[in-house]
Amino acid sequence: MKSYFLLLPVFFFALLEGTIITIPLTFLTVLAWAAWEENFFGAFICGLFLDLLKGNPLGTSSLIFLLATLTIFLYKRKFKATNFAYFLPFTFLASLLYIYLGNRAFLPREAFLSSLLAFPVASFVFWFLEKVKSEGQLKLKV
Amino acid sequence: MVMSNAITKFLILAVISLLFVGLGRWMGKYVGPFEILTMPIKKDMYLFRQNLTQKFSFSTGKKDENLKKELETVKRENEVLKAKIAVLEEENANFRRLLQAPLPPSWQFIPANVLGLSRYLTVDKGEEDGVKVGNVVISENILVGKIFSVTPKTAKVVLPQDSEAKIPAATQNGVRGILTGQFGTKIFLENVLQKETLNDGDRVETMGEDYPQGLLIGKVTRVIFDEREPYKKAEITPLLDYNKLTTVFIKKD
Repeated sequence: MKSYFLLLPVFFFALLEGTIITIPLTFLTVLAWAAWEENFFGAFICGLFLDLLKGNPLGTSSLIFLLATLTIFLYKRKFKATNFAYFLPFTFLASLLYIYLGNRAFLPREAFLSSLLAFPVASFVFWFLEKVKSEGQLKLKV
Repeated sequence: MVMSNAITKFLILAVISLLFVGLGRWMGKYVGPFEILTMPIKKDMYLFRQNLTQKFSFSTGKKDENLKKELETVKRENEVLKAKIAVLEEENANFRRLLQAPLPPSWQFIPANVLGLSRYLTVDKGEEDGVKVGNVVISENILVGKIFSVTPKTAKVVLPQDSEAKIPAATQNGVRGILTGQFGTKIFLENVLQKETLNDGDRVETMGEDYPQGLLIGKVTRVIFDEREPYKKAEITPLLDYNKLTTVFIKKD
């Protein structure tokens, strides 16, 4: 449950995306979150945040995020999703598709930039979730 | 089991998302209060962005790419329009000069744009426009040359500096001679009797016959004579720079 604290930085990312930048930071966070654990509800909420802050039709980003989470969930059995060797190429392809849906154009340069940014974003998400998990385990031990 | 639970969650949330999309208009009024909360933050962030983008330009969106492309297109169009205006202004100035030139009012002209200059001057008017071989070409009241050949759309003009051009000419003092070009670079007034007086700066104009009378050609810049020869000659500097011509006027028969 504590992993939902991740929604705070997601809200900030969505705010950034809705105003200053065009890099899909929220999407990258959702991908990293999905790689770490199956969390459809989190993806759904992140999508709502983004739609509200970007002024998109409500539900569109949620749907895309849910589909991305499902894809990662289905491939998790075959690949170790948190391994950057799999995660970054997947991010590139997913970003390419995501940017295409947003702009109706394939922009590989932007997708590449997103996949580069996925490294720090995912590192942060993994670190955050790891910390939340370890704190939970400590409490159980006590 | 885990798999089916996950798929069920996905399906439920996907259906809710689709409902949100489908009921977009109806949901709008519920989004309103949230926007009231986020609007001031968004506004400040946007202003911050505006200030930032004035100093740096960083964006990966297609919108910015489109704007850049649009700006480039507008700039190009602006350059093209500026060039067109310059051409039109020059054409207009040429027309004005032609109107002011002391030419017989009965003369009729076909305005033509210069397409190029090698040995001959090529203009963009031809047979279809009523241009005929032998038509005289002028700019203001200065002789440019004579139509040498025509195609349906273009015509070639022999310039006074061409060796084929033999123009009966006279100076302002009435000294007669034949104007001949040499190597396409110089013009000489030849066949001038030794007894005639030629001075530097004398204006040379057409004398009639094949060309209308009184059209300016150039000025005497050097008199060349040899007492043993029956004739003397003078080098003439044309009043027009043929390389800079853009519009000329073809005199109709």
